[in-house]
Amino acid sequence: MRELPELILKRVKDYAKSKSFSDAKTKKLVEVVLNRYNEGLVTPGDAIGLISAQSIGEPGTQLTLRTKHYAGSLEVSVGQGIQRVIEIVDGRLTAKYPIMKIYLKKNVFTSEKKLLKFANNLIDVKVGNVGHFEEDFTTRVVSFIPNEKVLEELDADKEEIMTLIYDKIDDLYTSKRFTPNKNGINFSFDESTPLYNIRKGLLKWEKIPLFGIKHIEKVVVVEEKGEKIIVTRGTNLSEILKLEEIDSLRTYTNDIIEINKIFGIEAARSAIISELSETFTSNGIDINKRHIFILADLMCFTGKVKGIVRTGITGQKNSPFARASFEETVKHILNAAFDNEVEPLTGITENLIVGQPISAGTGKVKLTLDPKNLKKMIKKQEASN
Amino acid sequence: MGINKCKIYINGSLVGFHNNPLKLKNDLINKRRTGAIDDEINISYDQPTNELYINTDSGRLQRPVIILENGKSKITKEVLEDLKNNKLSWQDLISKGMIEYLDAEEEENTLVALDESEITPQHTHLEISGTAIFSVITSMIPFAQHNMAGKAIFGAKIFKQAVGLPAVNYRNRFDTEMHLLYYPQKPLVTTRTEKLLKIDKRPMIQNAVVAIMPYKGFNMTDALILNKGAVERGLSRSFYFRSYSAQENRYPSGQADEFTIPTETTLGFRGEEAYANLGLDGISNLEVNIPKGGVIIGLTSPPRFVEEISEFGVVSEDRRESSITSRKHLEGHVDRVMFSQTIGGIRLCKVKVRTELIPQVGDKFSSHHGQKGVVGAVVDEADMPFSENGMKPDFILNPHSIPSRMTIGHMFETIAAKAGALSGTEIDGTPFYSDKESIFKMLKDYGFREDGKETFYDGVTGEKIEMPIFVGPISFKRLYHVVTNKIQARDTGSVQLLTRQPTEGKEKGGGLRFGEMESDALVGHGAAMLLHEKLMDSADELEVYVCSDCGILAVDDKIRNRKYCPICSGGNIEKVIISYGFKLLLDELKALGVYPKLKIGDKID
Repeated sequence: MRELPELILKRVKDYAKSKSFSDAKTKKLVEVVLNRYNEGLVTPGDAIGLISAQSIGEPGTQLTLRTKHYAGSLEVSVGQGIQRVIEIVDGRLTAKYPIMKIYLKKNVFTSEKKLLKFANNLIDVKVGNVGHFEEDFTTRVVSFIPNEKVLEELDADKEEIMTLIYDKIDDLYTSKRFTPNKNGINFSFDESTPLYNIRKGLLKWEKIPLFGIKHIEKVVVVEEKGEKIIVTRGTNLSEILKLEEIDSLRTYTNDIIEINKIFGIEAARSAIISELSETFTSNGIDINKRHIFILADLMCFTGKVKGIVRTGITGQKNSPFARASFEETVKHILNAAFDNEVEPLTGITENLIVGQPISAGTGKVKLTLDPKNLKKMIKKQEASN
Repeated sequence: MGINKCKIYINGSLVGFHNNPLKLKNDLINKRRTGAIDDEINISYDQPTNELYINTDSGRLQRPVIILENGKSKITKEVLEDLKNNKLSWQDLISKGMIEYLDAEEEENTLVALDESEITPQHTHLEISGTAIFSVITSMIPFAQHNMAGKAIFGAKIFKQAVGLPAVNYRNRFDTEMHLLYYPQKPLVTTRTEKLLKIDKRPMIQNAVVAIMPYKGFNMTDALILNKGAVERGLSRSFYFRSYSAQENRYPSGQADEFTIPTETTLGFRGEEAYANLGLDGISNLEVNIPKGGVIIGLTSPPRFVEEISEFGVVSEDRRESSITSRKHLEGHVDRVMFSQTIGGIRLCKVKVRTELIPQVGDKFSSHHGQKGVVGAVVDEADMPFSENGMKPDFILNPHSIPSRMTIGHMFETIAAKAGALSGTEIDGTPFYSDKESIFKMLKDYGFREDGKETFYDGVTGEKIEMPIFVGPISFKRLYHVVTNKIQARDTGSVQLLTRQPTEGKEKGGGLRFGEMESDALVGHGAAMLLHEKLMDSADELEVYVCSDCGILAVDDKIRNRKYCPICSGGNIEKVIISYGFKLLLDELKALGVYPKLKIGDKID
């Protein structure tokens, strides 16, 4: 029997106090809770990692393989199903569908229009997004033609943008001659510039950022629990957090690596837990959170987010046999030999390979019974009783 | 150019543009109907994308439908009359533009009426028969229109597995495997397709009386109860034929295999008794009993290596025995023997062995409606439940197999077959064309409940069963999945040469694989010792000697009763128990150039 952890004991006692239980009743309550606590404990020697893996893996077979796409609609695609789970568990550096939920401080935006404008200003707009270049190689003139429709959608002032583009490109290529006109900007090059370089520069210009925040591709304003929030495709937490209008305590990204970079490993751990359980629950699968806790703990205990892949956690196992039995057998065995590694035979896979009883469950116990001593013990027991 | 014009595709590749695709389509279709272009070409127009597809390639599924003109079928009464008098053929109907073949794409442009009565001006075609939307096999399922679509497909799949009369010349055939039903019957409920195919001339079903009720839990989860009396009367009894063949192969040395009774000098001689069944020519006599694994064709081969000719010029005859034997799990009687020659002029012999398969626990049966099941118990006739007039069912199906699968056709077939059996007539159960009301009326007229239920009495206690039981004859077929050909068990037995682990597969007397997921399950339960037993004691446990100084496997010289280390020849040799698989791994590591040094410790610290 284990004793109750202090925290639980305190909570039980607080509860008893709030209900003004008598001392005897409180004692009984503690006893009941203690019994329940001990019933809930895992038996020593249980292979909890393997049980977690099975408990996550089996329902994982029911997850959908397809991904929902919301092409053109006012929604942001979210990675779903088995792909998202694999993405998280592998600890991939770039998520396929990074999204952010930006919560806003109360009463900052008086009207919805202002909110929309703020949201649209977040989008990462590049020169190539607001228009296109037309080349005329005979006169060596490249002209930028803005797309009126896009400008209207962005709710941006045309003149302002044109001067912005002019300034940005001007900063980069001061030696060229520019002539802004009412339709766009003309850039003319002299004879010495090879045509190849013109095209090269042009492709570069298209990628010059104009305004907005890097990586944010799309914004949607949605209502969540009676509150307007901004959902974005693409994340850039560090930049967004600098903004004054947003509620930095609640603003969220689903990019675990980014969370780790900004808030540290504990935040990344809870992000893994919440993202994984969100993926499972949205597919109608109920997994005990403790299994996910173990997985997240395993991925994060080194202080970095590491995936369950050969380049991550699995590749850093202590045992060369366990590593070799996962992937790239020969490579792992040869490297182990070069490093003069010793196989400690502590894990399960290793002992299965060698043919020893595993060190889990009933194999964990290393006791032998001495019948002579047993008789003595029984006598001793009887005497004490 | 061409952005507003219709794109024309032939077999999926763009060939041109057209201003008036509908006119083009109609012209092409009219040309097809008049025979100007081939009748297997299909033309379809897709309005949303403004594209016209002309398909002439292979691999399209087509089906014939009657063409409608001004809301009237092109097949008139006169045409039918001509057809009856053999003045017109099917090909005439196509070339005269009365019937055409549609593929899946052209079907999208048409509106096909199911019946002549429902034709409206919008309709372009008329179905030849409502049943024609089913495949040949599916349309043989009576009342298939009442079944769930999936069950019709299922039923069609099972049709192909039925044991029946596979060929009229079955006596002369030497198929590797063949099943033959003892007493095939004409179905009580037929369909028009069955009549067209003359399936009642070579049927694969028997009309068994099937009750739908539980029976002491022996028919849980799709198991069936089989009446032992019915089995003894020959219900679903079948033959299983298996053919074995051998030939007198010739070898480059000039020697050849020979059909003969092996003599005692032959290598691998099986003993006199094993060859008792063989005739003088080395082939089994007809109607002789072949035990499991018994010799069927006596065959000897020349020695593998030609021996030196001795001084007297006599080649010593150390021939090997290479007789063809029956399968390990199969016994039977020799049914037929055949001699022939291969193209190379080598003598060829085939022997067909016949086994009688009596229905038993584990055999598979099915109705037409995908209601398949495995026999869970063969019950004495005395213990079977009986109806008021003393009738006992041949099969008992579990009621749970009906509601979730929604095979109402099964119920209708039972009721129709019951009416047919009572009246002595064949009932037509063609999908979409069956008259159910008259069937109900027939049953009522014969004094039965029209829902097919009857009062039943428990066969063991004789008590009346409170609920009326749905019972009646239905066409039931035996499927070729037979336990005797599938059952497999092993305790100890053969092992693989490389890994010394038990073999896999029935013919090799193998075990069932205790795989990675299974061992994970045991680890999850913490059953370490059970896992150890499965992976070691039941598999490839090995006692080896290890030099505790060098950590390498020692040599166990059993002749000189000496154990030594191949490196240091020292004496610190310890006995260690490992799996042979691990020993193999150590050897392979050595082959890689890795020195796997074992550190030996005590089993108990």
